[in-house]
Amino acid sequence: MTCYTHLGEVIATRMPEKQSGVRVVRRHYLLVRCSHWLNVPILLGLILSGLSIYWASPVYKHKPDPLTGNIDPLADVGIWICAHVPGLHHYSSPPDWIYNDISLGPGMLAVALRLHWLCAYLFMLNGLVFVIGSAMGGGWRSLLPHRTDLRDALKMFRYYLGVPLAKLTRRSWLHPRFNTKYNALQRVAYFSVPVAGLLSVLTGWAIHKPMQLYWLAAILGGYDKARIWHFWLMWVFVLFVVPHVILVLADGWDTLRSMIVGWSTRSRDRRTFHNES
Amino acid sequence: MNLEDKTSALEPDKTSSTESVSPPKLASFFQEQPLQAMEVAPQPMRRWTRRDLLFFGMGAIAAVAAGGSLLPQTTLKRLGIIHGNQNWPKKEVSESSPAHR
Repeated sequence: MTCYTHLGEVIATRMPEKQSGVRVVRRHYLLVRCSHWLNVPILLGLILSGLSIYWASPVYKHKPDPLTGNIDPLADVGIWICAHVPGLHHYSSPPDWIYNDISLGPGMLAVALRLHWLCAYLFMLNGLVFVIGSAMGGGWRSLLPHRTDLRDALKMFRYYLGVPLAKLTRRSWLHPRFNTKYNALQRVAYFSVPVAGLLSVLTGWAIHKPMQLYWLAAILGGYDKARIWHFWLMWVFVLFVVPHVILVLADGWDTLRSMIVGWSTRSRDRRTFHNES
Repeated sequence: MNLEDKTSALEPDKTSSTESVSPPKLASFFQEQPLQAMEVAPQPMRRWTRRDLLFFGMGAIAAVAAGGSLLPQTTLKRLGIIHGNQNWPKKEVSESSPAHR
């Protein structure tokens, strides 16, 4: 993969005067790119196996259903989906619909726990790679929140909300200006994801070793509260990933490519004044 | 090399900061560094892009293969990746009915 050194070599070998070069900016350090893409299968594995573990012992429970004896709200969601979505009326086990489709499956606690811990160790290792990569490339600075981030994030949010309407009505919809690598909304999101990752690891350890790490479980409000934290932190990742992928695809090939090759043909000046819609 | 320049540029700051920590230096340490624009010859750029995309594709295929090998058979059957009548590596078990859902 391209490292910054390669780009340095390219610059070092000066081009002939007549040959026009490509103007690029370095965006992502090699280790950060590796860490980013490794997160995709790891997080997928964590979520799929995590929901299988959840099936065995749901964090949230309600009174047993008089007909089915079901206590799991997620199973209720599956029942509702099978009752209302065309083509699923004859599904053999509606309470398991969620677990059959977005987990390893029901009744697989042992396998799910093994896979969850494998992915968890890889996740922690990957987090370390990210920290080293951010430190080496200096990218951690671009993730630090600014004082004006809340106001600017609202501006960006307003911009993103208005883009579809502007496209439909063919009106110009100017991108808010920013002079940093990421806009305020990206910064809030990209800063909160490593924090959520760290909290996921801490809550995971508190659940895994509640006796040995009783102090950690106590900090998190006890074993049951740690499970609730862990469950909702998964949703933080899901809620981050969905708009993240949509916005990257909407932003164009350059953004996606920059996370693979490390450089972008969009210089900051262009980003400041260019309407990305 | 710019990355090395960056680190070497930071080192004197670190040593000087042990003697007197001034707020402007601390602020500049936390301040985002500007993106460095550069002119690159198109030919090697294309070659390296191709190579990186190839590596990325190989990594993606490896991840899918590794994931597939780690997932339990029942999950793979439910996903339709393998069929119920395939019993490898256990050849002797042959009469199992397809267990789709």
